[in-house]
Amino acid sequence: MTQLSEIRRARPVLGTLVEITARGTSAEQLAEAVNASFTEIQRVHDLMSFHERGSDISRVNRLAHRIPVRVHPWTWRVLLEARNLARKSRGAFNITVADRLVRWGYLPCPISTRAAIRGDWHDVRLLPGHRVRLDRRVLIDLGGIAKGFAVDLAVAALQRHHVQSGLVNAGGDLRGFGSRRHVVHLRHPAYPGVFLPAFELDSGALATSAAYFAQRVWRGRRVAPVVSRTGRPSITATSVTVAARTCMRADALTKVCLLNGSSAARRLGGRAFVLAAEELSPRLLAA
Amino acid sequence: MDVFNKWLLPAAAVIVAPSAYATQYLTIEQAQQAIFPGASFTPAFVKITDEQKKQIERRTDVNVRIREQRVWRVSTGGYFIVDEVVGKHEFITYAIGLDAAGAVQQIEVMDYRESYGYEIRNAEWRRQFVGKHAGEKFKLDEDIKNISGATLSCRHITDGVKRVLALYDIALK
Repeated sequence: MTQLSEIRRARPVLGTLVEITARGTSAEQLAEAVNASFTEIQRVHDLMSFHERGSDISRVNRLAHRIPVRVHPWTWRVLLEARNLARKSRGAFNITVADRLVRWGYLPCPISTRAAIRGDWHDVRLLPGHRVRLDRRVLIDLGGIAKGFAVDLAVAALQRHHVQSGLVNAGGDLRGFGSRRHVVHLRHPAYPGVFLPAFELDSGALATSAAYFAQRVWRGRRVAPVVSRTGRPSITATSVTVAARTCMRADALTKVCLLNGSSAARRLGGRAFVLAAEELSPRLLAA
Repeated sequence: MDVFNKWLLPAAAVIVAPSAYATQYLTIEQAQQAIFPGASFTPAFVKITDEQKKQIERRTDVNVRIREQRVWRVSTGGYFIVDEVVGKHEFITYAIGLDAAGAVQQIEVMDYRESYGYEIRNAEWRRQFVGKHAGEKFKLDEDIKNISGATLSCRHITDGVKRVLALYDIALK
């Protein structure tokens, strides 16, 4: 029985630390696989980052209300998924809430004009030839879905390079594959430096949404980067974890779960778990 | 493939982590080989003068904490630089590989450490966690590998890279 090698690497990308664990028979092949995976993740970052001026998303935000903007097929895929989820969640999942995130200080304002943002997710038109058009001005931010998408691509890249089992973790959005079980810990919602063993995962994805690092005060009000359908910040002292088959879906469904409840997330392929501040293990939220 | 039945660990044994989570990904030698495989490295550490510190801070708006930067010249061209950044609760040591033109080729995190100063070892503080659920135990967990839950942004590393690039411009080019 060949002994398996394992490598673990972390790099800053997608605005967070991305960690890749990979197991296989050849250390050299593992290094190559991990490099290839990080290259794909970097590509997602370059295409979909709200902060990079040259990204597809920045070009759409600046120009697509005037002319259609052609985007990379990956960006297209994510926008398509975002639109489907927006429709099925009646707007709970919404990539056009960036204007509020800008106002509350979570994102820098990317457009030089103070033009009013009047549009909504309905105004994002996906045209043939991977082109995007905005009927009215909106600010798109893929922060709630792009990390999950990048994780899925990274896992596929590792598998193409014959990695037998592993896990990709992008700032807490993670996906495992292969036959090895991974123990996943959650941060305690009130004490983020305390870790609770919560799940055993072999293949599948988890994404967790919690406010411990993200809550801030804006004009005397507490805000958080999760926006309800009425445009208000969703403040919660719990940690919500969604399990799904893909990380893109798990990532997006944490927002749906926070705003619409666990049955809404379940209808879209996710299982939701909540970890309350006074509990020590997460509870499955059944319908 | 039914992943959902395997989700929850038994709640009877409750394990709480020590107050400092730490993980090492690479040693210096491993990081060197990860970024520049097969190359050899010549130490060329830089002692940052007061004037250089001022220049870097003015240019980048980032504080210079380290006064001796660990730099190696790479035999195949470029530089291998070790840097440290400190956040509110995290301490990260990482490596930057610069190519012959001074552009960032690759970044690898070497050490990641967190510290919250909770009194985990203090029985008084721990009492708030135990005693609420039947059958629970309290142990110190040394084996945390995969964490789901928003982590800190890598803003500090971004600032660090800016600072190191300015140092390259001022002292190494």
